[in-house]
Amino acid sequence: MNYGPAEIMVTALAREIMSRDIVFHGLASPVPMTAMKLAKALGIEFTFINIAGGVDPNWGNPAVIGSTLSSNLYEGGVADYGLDEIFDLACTGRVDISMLSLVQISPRGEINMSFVGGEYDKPKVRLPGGAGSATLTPVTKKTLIWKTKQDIKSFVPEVAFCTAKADPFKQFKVITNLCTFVMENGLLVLESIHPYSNLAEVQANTGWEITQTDLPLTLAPSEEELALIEKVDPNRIRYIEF
Amino acid sequence: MGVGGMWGSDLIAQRPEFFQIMKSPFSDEEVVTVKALQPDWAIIHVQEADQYGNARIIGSDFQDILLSRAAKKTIITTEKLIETESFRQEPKLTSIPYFLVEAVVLAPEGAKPGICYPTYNSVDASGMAAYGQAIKEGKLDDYLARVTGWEGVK
Amino acid sequence: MISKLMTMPDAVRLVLNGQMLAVGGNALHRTPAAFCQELAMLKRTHLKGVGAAPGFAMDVLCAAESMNEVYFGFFGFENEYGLAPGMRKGIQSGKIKAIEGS
Repeated sequence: MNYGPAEIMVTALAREIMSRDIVFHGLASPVPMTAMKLAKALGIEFTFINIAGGVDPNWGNPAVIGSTLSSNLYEGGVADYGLDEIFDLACTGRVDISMLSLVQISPRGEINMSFVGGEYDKPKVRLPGGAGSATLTPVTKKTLIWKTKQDIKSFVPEVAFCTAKADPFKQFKVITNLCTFVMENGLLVLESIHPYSNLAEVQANTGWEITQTDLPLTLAPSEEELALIEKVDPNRIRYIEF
Repeated sequence: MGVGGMWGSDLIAQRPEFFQIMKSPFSDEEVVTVKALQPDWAIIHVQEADQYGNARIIGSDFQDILLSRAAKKTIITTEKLIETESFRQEPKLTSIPYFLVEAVVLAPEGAKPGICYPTYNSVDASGMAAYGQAIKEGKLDDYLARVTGWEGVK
Repeated sequence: MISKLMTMPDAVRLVLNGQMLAVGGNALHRTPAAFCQELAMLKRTHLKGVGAAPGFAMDVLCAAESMNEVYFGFFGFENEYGLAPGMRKGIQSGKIKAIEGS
């Protein structure tokens, strides 16, 4: 196998992007950044917006550090469109895809980015916060969640706190190192399993019961996609998240 | 003020002093509102400023222009002092005009151990490690004295 | 226009106990670190911090126990530099109140 979780997640995210989409990623997002650059390299005519403010930054300009607030996401862009403007764009229904991550998720698409253990005002572990998830998730046409380490501590029946919640009437997908989930009628259902994993492993790392049995494999990255991932991310910044 | 999104988030109920749901005055819709903040100060580090407080951010401005508009007054720290003529030639490139500004401090490398594009583009790992270590050992004052060059509180 | 040039020690003294500071930059990018480190030496108390994605500079004021309230959407250093230690310690001990905006 000439790919791993990073490449299959990058490819799965990139394949969600269609021509004319307006697509956003935020900070601490090497995998989405790589996915959006891959979609550009594949020739998909979408609009790349991000927290550094560059509109369609030069995707051939590789990231050199893990931070996705870096200048490679600004330089070579056609315009400067900052986060405040991006939030207004999203709140008026004009953002097609937001790529967001999380610490915990429930089968109802409740996302916890706030705290684990203890109480809100004196938590055992304070987390960094939703980073805009609470605003963006209900107003973006399609939310794509990526999580590089799926386990029963993160995929839980009930979240400790609901920082942001999926809108059951909008598209919502979760792409992990093991599989992909999609929201149907307000509940996450398993959509596909990555070729190197299996149902038993997915179930062992999901804190609720998976009822589906006959599941397709996630389409593996093609040779072309793998070559382009290396081209847009030669410093392999995507591995920082694993 | 009204904001978009937020529906379903526990954050709304957690902080009634910041979030309230109200009926829209224009329709039957419910609207999430947040308390507008007016900070006493915006503290902004920029690449270029003149002595009067005209300031220019190069590259990503993040939310800093908004912060300067929201705050009562702004304090600018700057990598470089430049001539006012440079602002007069390209007024569209002025991020923060002087009348919002109360103080200008020349502070080269003023964002370290972090990044200030385009002068220093990677994090100073040893500086970050020293900071993390100081917090872990409860020796923040020693760290601060070292990085500010102060011997003690003046 | 009147010159507003000041030394850092004079500028940090403009900030008084209990005031609200909007701190610029995001995470480890262009935050006013030198200013906040110098301000932290003054041991001001009950400051309130505001930012969409605060990072290093505001964390120093949290670590110094100068801040007792922080408004943010994300507070951290990103990826390999992880979570913000001063903010975490302050909130986890109950000394700093978190007001998460989104």
